[in-house]
Amino acid sequence: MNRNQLDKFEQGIQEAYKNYELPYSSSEFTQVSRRLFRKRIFSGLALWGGVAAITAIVGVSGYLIVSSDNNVTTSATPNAPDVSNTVSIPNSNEDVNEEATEGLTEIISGFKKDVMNASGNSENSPSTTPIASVAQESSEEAVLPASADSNDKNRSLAIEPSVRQACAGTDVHFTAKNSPKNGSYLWNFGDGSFSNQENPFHIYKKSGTFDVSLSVTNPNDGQISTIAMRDLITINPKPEADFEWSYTNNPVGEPTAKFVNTSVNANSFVWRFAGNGTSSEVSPSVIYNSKGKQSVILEVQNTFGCKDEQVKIIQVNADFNLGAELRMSEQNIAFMPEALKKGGNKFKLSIYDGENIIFETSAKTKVWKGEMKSGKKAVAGQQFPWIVLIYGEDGNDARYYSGTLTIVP
Amino acid sequence: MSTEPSQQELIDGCLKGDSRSQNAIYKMYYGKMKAVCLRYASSTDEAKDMVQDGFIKVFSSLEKFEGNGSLEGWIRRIMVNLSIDQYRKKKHTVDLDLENSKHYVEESAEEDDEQEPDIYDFQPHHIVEAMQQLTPVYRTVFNLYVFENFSHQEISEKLGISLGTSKSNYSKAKKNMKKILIKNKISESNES
Repeated sequence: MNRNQLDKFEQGIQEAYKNYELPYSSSEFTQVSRRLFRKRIFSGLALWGGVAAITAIVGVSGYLIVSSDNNVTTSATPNAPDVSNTVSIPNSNEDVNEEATEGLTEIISGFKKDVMNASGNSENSPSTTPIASVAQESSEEAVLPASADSNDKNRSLAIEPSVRQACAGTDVHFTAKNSPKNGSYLWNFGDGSFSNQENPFHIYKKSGTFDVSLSVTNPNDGQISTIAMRDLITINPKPEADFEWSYTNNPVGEPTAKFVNTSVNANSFVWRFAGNGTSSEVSPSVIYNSKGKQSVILEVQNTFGCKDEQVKIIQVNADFNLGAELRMSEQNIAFMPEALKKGGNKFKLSIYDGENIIFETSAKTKVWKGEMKSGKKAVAGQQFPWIVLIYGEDGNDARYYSGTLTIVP
Repeated sequence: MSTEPSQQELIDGCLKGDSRSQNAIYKMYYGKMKAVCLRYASSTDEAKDMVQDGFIKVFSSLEKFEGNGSLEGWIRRIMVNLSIDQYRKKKHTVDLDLENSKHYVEESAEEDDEQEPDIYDFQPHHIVEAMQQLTPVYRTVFNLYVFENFSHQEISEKLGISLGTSKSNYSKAKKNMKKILIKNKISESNES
């Protein structure tokens, strides 16, 4: 491994430091995580401007009305730019499907029960402390707004999504911050789906911008804290990769697959042909010379950077070697591969005697009749390797074929 | 479901911005990378910043990791390149400050009696302490040659110095390392 010649001293230093590791530091990771989070938010352009961290007002959603007997504390994340905007969350998405609605009822009823139980407890221990001020273990963790790392003792309930912008189909992880221990949770993901987990995962299947809200009931006093964030999650459409293909022969007779790109919602394409390189054309053509199964992968991407891919297998039924003859009688030598005779492409045919080129031509009418360097003619038992380069329309991009001609009696 | 996520799953998670995956990768490589950065930094605080900057870079460019080599090697290269970049950025200020440098002796012609350490049983902290006393250019050249195994040709290209400067800096850096290590060792044994 060592290219540099190290002496005893240098080796001693290298050896002493080998495998040296320092203990893991969770606080340092928190700082990294916070910086990454800010980076993402700031790179998410003016999104932040629209992400007014907004108080959900009673009446916005049914589940809040339930709790009207309790001390409902509504909380905004710190530095909410505009608290006066209200969000109408549950009804904002029109295509709430029936299944989701069913789930919704169930979760809400469960939630109600929790609220009732909790309110029972609260009689014994009335409290007016806003729920959001309950100190949590995770005081080191970053809260959503980038500026939240001030010494804010009244930490408010906050929502931290794993991503703010994603492609449809991405699993987004939501974390409830500064929430009471063992509280009951109701998340509204804004797309007609709900969850009562503390830190749920949710897959957004459709594109759009989604409001997300979270209500948490404190098990000790029944207080409900709610946070609603407008346009928290932006889901970009995902492209769909697909293609069709047909099999033809080009003028030289080379078996060619013509691919037709039928992808939807995509504007950049990478084709990967097993053993045949790549292409970024929309609908490329590829020549297949070897018998067997070949995979074709089409990777597509849209302007949002969302990706999809499609894989298909091409079955090539026969090897193609220009239709060149393998054997010729010494009586009647006349070598010019069939495909070259028919085709119109520029080519170069070279024939070897094992070491040197003995014949070269670019004209399809100029066939090899067995003549060799010595002036003698080829005889039975001799073998002559040949190479053909076929040039593309632009004169470059040569394709290469080779074989061996055996002379027989 | 309870199986450990594979490296690829963790990478995919990081690409989606999943902080648990990021934490897992961070946990795996933090200790080693901190050790790398300690060698390049002039203080523990600087090393801490370097590690952080390095991991920010790792997580924001993870899509460029092609999986050809080990992830650890790739992360390590990011840390080393970052150290080189930092050195290059600071180069001008460093050069100007050299005269007033609080760092250990620069090469002085009359002190050519090179001492050899009696024994070579250094501890990692000896090395870190000694490296921190080198001037930035000596430290960087020494690191790249001994630990990163770069040739002088590569070092000169990376640091934007001539081949000759790389070689002479290296030999001075090595000489200083010996002096510092011997001196520190003596004072350490006197204390105990």
